Amino acid sequence: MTTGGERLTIDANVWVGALDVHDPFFATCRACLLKAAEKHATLYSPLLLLPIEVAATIGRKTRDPRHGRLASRWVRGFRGHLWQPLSEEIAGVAECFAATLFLRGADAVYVSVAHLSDAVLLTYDNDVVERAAGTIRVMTPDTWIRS
Amino acid sequence: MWETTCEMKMTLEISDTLYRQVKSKCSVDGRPVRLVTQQLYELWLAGGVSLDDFENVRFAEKDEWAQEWVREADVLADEISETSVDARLNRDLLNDDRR
Repeated sequence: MTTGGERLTIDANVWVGALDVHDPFFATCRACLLKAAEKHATLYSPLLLLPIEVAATIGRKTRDPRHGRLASRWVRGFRGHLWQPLSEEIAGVAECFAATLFLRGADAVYVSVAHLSDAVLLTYDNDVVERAAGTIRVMTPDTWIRS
Repeated sequence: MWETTCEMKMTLEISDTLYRQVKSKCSVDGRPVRLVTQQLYELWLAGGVSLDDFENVRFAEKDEWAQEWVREADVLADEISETSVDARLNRDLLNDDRR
């Protein structure tokens, strides 16, 4: 696969935000993903986390298994993903970040993938932005769109 | 001294999805839609808002893949909204699940 110039890891909260018409950040989530596609960014995405989190969120939101599956398929269909399996290395770094940066489990995996891929992590989780800022490049989609 | 003010009424046709987003954000910000609309016009006239910033929209308009992706996302988002059994935002639901 040819990798584009920009390297990104995009948290599931941006993907599910782009599917929520009631979310005040709905338009920004959409614009962020479209900008990533336009720039032919490479998305370093945790395979064992992102599609599952999206399927779980949408499935639980609607209690309709069809929507959960459609949502995860929609995420997987986005161009530019370079899926990152949960390797020993990613798990080890995530473990370290979880312990030292006081991150939650899933957040530590996103930070680990971004760190090992030298990617910018885009997330709406302010805790992650604050705690991981000294370790990786991390910002909200709004900041990245304006950059 | 009598001062006469004349306020024009106008009708806009915009998509349901866009209007729901606007209403939702106005509700969160505590601002009436009418006031936001008027202030955005004033900002634009004063040069404070550049419509040239909407590169993403232009990209989506010209890129076939992006058009299909947006269309698919719109259909899915509308279905999710209509069949939702949980009032929380998707992001809040995800965040709560991570706790």
